[in-house]
Amino acid sequence: MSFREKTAWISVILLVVLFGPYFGRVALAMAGKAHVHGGTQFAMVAAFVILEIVLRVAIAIQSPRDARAPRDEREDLIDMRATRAAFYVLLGGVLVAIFTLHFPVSVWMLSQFVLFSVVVSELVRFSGQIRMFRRGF
Amino acid sequence: MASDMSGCAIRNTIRELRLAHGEMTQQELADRIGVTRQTVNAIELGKYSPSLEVAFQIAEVFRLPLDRVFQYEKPKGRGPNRR
Repeated sequence: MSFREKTAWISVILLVVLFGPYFGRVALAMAGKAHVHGGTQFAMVAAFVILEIVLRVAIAIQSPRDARAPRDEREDLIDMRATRAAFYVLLGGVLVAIFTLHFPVSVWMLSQFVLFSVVVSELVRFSGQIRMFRRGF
Repeated sequence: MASDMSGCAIRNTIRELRLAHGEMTQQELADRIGVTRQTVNAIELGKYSPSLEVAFQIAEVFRLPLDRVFQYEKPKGRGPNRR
């Protein structure tokens, strides 16, 4: 498994493990069955960034040669294709977020929706990369 | 014998050429042309068609003309190749 495929796996796993339960709780909060503290959202994003950095550094130490090597043309194409798919997901999320502004939604709710769009688009990007790495292109 | 290209229009003989050149590994070839081993494997299996630059670099490693390494076969019943 290449260094870049490993980093994509790390991102997917972190997104699912961290944000899956978080958005489950947010959904319960929207239904009035739970409470999500305002600072939790920031804490989740910070935890994701920190864990991502720590884990990427860990696998870079394991395979320093692969980590130092620049992306080759296939890896660039894989990244571009996956990012293109993720762009449309994010675009859809942003458009829906703009639409919801015409309704009485709280800033908290809107911010959760925007973060959800970002998380889903990142999942599409990294899972797309993994799919293409696995099948060759 | 050319590699099985999994329906790809471009066939290649990289695997055979590697073996004929002192059993060169995929990693050695990858290092010489500046790509990852996984990319060399994807090219060999016909899952990825390299750029002209990489194709010429591979041909140069084996000191052969490009068409001895890569061969194009027009797909039957298909129009222009578009992604």
